[in-house]
Amino acid sequence: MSHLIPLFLLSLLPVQASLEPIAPFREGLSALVFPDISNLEETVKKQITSLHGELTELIEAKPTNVNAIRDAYLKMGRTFHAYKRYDLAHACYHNGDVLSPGRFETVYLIADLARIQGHKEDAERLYRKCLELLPTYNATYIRLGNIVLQQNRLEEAGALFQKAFDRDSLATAAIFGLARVADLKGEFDKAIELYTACLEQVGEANRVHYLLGMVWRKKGDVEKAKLHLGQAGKIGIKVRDQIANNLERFVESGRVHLIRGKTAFGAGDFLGAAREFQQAVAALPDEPGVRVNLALALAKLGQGDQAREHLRIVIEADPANQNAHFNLGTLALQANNRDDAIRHLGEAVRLDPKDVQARYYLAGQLKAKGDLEQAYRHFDIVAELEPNNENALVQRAGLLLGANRFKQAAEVLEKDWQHNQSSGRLTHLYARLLAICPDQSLRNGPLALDLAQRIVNVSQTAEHLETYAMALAQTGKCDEAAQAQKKALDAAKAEQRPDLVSRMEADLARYQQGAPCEPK
Amino acid sequence: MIQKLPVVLVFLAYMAGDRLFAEDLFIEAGPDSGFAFTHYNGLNGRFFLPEIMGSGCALLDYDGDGDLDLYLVQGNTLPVGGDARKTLVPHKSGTPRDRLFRNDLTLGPDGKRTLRFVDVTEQAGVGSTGYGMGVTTGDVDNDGDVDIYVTNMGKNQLFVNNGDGSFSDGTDRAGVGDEGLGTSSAFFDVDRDGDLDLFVANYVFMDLNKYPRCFALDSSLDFCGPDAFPAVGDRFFLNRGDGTFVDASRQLSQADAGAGLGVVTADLDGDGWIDVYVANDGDPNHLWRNKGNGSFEDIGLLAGVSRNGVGAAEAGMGVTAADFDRDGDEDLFMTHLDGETNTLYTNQGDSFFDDGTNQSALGMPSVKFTGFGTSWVDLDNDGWLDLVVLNGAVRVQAELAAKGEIFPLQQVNQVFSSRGGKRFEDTSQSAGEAFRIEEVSRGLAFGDVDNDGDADLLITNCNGPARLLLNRGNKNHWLGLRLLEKHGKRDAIGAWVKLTLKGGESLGRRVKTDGSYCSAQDSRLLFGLGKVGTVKALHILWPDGSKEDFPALASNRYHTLRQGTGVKK
Repeated sequence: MSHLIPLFLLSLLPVQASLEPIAPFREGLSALVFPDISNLEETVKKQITSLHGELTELIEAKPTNVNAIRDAYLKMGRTFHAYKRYDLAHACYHNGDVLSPGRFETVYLIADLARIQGHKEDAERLYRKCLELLPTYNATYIRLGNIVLQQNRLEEAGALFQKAFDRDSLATAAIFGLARVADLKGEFDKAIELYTACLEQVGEANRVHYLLGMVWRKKGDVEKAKLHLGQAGKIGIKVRDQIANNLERFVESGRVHLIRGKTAFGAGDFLGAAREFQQAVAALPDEPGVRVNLALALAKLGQGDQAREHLRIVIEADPANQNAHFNLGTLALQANNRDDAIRHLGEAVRLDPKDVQARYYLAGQLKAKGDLEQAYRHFDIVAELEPNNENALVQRAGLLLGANRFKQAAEVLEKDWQHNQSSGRLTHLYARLLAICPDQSLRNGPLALDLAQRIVNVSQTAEHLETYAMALAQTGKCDEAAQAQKKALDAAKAEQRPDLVSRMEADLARYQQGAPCEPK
Repeated sequence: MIQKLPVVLVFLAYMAGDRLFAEDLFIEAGPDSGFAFTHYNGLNGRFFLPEIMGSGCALLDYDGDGDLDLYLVQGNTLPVGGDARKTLVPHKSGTPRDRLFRNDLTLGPDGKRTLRFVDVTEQAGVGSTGYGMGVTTGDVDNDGDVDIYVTNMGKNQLFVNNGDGSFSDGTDRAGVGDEGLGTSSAFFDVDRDGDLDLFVANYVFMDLNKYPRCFALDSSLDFCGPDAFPAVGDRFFLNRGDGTFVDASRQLSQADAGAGLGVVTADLDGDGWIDVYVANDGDPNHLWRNKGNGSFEDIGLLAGVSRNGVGAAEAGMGVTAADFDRDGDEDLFMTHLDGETNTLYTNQGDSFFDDGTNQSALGMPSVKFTGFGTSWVDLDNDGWLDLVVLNGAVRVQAELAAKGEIFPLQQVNQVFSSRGGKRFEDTSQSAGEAFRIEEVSRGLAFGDVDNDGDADLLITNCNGPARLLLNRGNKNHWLGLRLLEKHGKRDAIGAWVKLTLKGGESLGRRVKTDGSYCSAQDSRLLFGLGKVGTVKALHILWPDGSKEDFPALASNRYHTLRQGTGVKK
């Protein structure tokens, strides 16, 4: 009898590693114990297996070729470093350093691991050693400056950033470091000058706007602060660090493109996202989700046709891919292709009846097409699934009113309003129904007035004031209704709503004639 | 004849002030105390995010006998209703359920304090059986006993205290059964109308039937982060005055929804009204300024607390607010993901905060950890608030996985001792065994469980045992306060106490149960008075905005003060 081992356990249990540990062949070296790689992507498996084979062969065949073995250790270290397997990376670098002590690049990579893992003493010590070994590598000054800055040693950090800047006046990270030091020392004018210089050099680094905004805030200029804060984004200043930045090249997993693509997408860099997703699609052609991401990025770039094409490929391979149907539906919706939108959104809803967003869009398209019964049905389901979904509740009530189903509309609105009393739109719709419902048995002047009063207490648009006047009229307060209606008229003119004016003027005339002045 | 002390007596001996290990700040209450709880997370190999979120705990006096009882939130299977015995780490007995432990603290004639806990969950009729996340406490119906609100993955629950040691599920009547993935929550009186309103942070929306697969860079399966799911928005409920609530959440839609994890209330803009701060995971945080009319506006960005000092929105987990630097206003401290630092926001007045992480030396020691529960607590009664930070990773720790750990997220917890409110020093190594072992810690509640005048800690561990850590005491003086609103029934949640010492220094503390991560604290105030020990004056700003002075109080004991019995200002 065979037992299935859960996937989770398979990925975690160390004993089934397909790679043999590499024992130290000389004193001072660390043993390398590898994780199970059976669940990794084929490309990653091959990559790690190949590195393992290369190193093992060198150790067995040419144990005296220290430099070649060292390089193999370092290559493997960089690979694990790039995959964030820091324990193995550290062991590899350590071995490289034992075989050829004091090489700059090895020490620098060990320092980078210490930095990433928050070992500040080690990182500082190692970066200082790097400065001794190779004073010309500019990134070391900046990395060390940042570590010193995190320990609030401002003068020392400033001196390190200054050295980096003196060596390379285009080192934006050095300028940024100097700006941070000036900022923290309260030298706000200098900080503004330096942050601005960073933006001039690296315009896409929109996170710098946040720091500029904060400096202006500290200076007391709130408007300038808001101006910059409004432009603040997620992209920061990167240290120009060939050694650390090159690590990315060691990642051969297609997923890294997916991760990078998502990061770029989140930061609003749709072009960068599309490029990454394209590479991810190439690496992971059988994963439909990857192609859906590419389609979304292309859609954001305005390349709707290409986006649709990718989504169609997904659906051909996986007809039940709900995401693809949903996105094809929304693309069709944006292109005013109502029939396609209804088809794909309908399919998305069929595949996932609880997808509220798809159902809401579908209902909207059905309404626009004139299929009001079906539209109502879907809005009704959305409202049941999400009793706080104001849009759906308003749409549902609106459809009932449009169909002259006043009694049902009144019942629905009463129930929905009870659960969503802070909803301005529901309160307004309900107030208007109670004030002017053609079915006079459903009118309720006092309640209409109470609700309308709540609305105008917080918002005085033309339509809100008009409803207030209607409610006043319904309670027989014709003079007050006339006063309110005049305000509504003024508001309608100010809002440039000529469509409202003639109706409002007619109602005003009736209010001015005195009781009874309620709508017929 | 001299005999060896039985183990139980050795355990009890600390309570008389004996020191077994002079260097350790805390000692754990052992099984002899009757307290035992192990969190169950339903680990099933599908990498569901709630499995790593853990759950919280509360310290509350539910039976009004003057000592703190313990409430522990429990997880469940995912989806709820599965067979808990068939998960990767099976639940040992019965259906997973929150637990309530009654504290039967006794004080012997010789001054010895003996803690004894009794699991009263079933007889009290309390305890969610959903997938529990967080808990907060407060008397929602002003009837003089404390009620319990539990957030779940699924419908949240309000357990209304019947005043006779039992609870009723009042969720539907109260209208607070939000169905989002609720995390931390807070009771406070936002509109000063004499009742407690409720703020609930929601994390993200996830459908277990359409659950995404997420991967580490090396393509191995890993837990998803919040960015794999849509955020759903927090909830705010206004109390009608009878313990039922109106959902007033719509106003929160003025800001983009974030993946909310931590909630703390404090008067962060110094206008006398209690504001709400929400720590969001990977999204900018929210500072909901109380506009004084029952509504809020988000001022987090301009106040400098939505992102850290370099403009990055961090992975906010737990949050705590207090006047750690004794300058009269409340500051914020937040825990974050590994690779980021925890962040200290120091209140500069005028609704503006500085990122003071580097200056306080709290940054670098946190880079390698993922922090969750956290609280400012004066652990040594020297008058300066120290920090407790609970850690536990959220991404598989490859080194631990390679050692065969089935839930490889363990990290150590930390204590940072205040050095005069300016810098903090990592003193975890002398804090006790619980700070030297690696666990997946999440919820943290603090309070004086044995009523001996020092702060004890209740810690929850995801997929592990909860720990009650008893403070072994110190030689400093202290003052304990319980503040009651004017009817003398309910804790005066939101009251701000400024206490002036003989030497002229002043300490400020706020009555509240919120903060940390998914947990509820002791509603009493405990002031460390240092060597001075003499309180010169005591000023209280009550939740309704009125102010009173009280005469000097004797130190080294608890006092109860009711609104209206002081001298009005």
